[in-house]
Amino acid sequence: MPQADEDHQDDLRLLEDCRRGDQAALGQLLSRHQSRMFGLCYRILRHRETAAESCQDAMVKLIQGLDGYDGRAKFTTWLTRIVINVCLSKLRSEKIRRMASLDAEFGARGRGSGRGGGGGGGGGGGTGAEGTLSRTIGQTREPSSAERVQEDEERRSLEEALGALDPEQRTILLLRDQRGLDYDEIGDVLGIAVGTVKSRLFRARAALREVIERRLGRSIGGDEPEGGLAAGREGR
Amino acid sequence: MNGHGTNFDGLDEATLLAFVEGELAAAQEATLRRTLPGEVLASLEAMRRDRAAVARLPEPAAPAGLAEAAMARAQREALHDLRLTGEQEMVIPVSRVAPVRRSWLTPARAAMAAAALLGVVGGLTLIANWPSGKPRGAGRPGGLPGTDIALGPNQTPDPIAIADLPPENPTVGTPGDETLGEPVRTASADPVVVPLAPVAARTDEPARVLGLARSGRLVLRVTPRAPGRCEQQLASLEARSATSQLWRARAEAPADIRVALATPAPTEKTPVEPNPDGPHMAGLDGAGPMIIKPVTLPSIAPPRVQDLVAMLRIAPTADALGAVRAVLTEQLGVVEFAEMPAPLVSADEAADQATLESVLWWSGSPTQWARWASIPVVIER
Repeated sequence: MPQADEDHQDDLRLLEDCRRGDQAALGQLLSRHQSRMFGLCYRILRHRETAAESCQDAMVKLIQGLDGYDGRAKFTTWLTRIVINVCLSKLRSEKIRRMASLDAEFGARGRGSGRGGGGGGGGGGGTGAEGTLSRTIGQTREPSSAERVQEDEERRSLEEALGALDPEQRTILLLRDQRGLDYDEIGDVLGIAVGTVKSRLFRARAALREVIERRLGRSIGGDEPEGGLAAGREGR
Repeated sequence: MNGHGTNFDGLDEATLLAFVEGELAAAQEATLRRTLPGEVLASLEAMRRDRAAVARLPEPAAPAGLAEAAMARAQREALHDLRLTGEQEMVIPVSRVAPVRRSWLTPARAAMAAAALLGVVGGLTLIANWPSGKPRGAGRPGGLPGTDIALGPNQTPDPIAIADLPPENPTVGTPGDETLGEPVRTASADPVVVPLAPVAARTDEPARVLGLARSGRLVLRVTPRAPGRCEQQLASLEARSATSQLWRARAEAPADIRVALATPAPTEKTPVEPNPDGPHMAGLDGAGPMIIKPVTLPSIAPPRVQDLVAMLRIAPTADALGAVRAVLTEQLGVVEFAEMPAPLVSADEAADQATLESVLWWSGSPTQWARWASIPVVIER
């Protein structure tokens, strides 16, 4: 059974226990998806404290709406929809734009954290453990400090560029690229048709590219003189 | 590709997206690579790399205890909602000094009590309206013991003012006795005359203030919050009181009241000479009537030109007094009680008694059976 299906079955089992009043199962269910939910909140809201508040709001709504989950969509899709709605509502109400820069602790921790991909689509090569592994496979040496600095710089640039996008555009990119949702799932989460998903996704990509080119004057992971790092990063 | 990401010639966004996503078949992708302009192809290739870079962004670590905090909050909200949607809210009783006594009043007892009360009130009303001689005054010789109401030689005491004070008990006490003014039996053959407590310390006692009101010596002094709006507020009060069963207000007091208020009050040091013809006090060996030192009163200064003087008539009950004070505090400002040296009797008050309402007093509420007290209100601006 593919991992995604196995995870979904585990979620359904925990969900049934929760509905029977098993508090431990509820805690376990939330813990399983805590990082996913917070990560999405953080990427959308671009502010750690606000993301924590919104993540908690989403968790409370999830708890309160457990009986309303009918199983037609995947549990992670349903959960993601709650998170997206909470975050976009938060943005609309507080008009948060281009929040504070990422804290250094997150940046340093991110280098050694887990996979960067979502549950469904696989993570590909990342700058985390898997990224190190892919680099090891693609290269016979550890990246030098200069390369590491450059990676951090490019990641920071990318995050800034993402922050410059409209929240809706940023959201759809995160759902597709970070969470690995397919078009149908994105449509379920956002409540739009598949054709609209594709159109919005393409325009979000074009907008991101435009921001990057305008701000940085170059592409991220673009033409590297030796191509080594770029080749190592190609995870898909 | 231009900066706005619009469609290329002959291509749609779905195809280009599929190229970026790597969803095209190999042959189709090869065709696109041959046909797309170099710049467009470069942009699409860059979008592919952006996509991979976004996918590689690290997952930020969630704060510790986030799930637990969410579960706790959900429980709190669930309890809150449960309380709002039907369960009766538990009211935590506030500790009271006086315990709540269970009612012993049965319907039969209630009827008997009502009949007795009717008789008492009716009798008191008749007595209160009994034509009296000289006006009462404070500090006069031969005054009724235990009170500051001075009586003339042929004047009977106001039973309301003296409450249930036994006339044969002299008002004596020992120094330091906190129940000054009340009858106290002492073993000493030489009773000690002590002054009554200053009124300032006791003007808020409802019984005392009520007594002053009934004797026509109570004045209210108001320090307004908005001096410029006093006339408007008084007019509003007058209109508002028209339907009240407990009080009536007049925005402007009669002229004689203002004159009476302007009369300077006697000072504390003004000696009060005993009336040698006054009644002697029991327990004294012919030394003359007991002299009760006048109470130190918070006198009210004569109204200035800019001050307003309104008039209140209230039912002689504590509820009415409390209601009036609350309304004045709410509408005007800080309210203080003050005492007049002499009762104020307005000419209008006498005229009021000849109305149809006063004739048919028995058809009104019990609060209207007793004669209402007239109280001037001085608004100091």
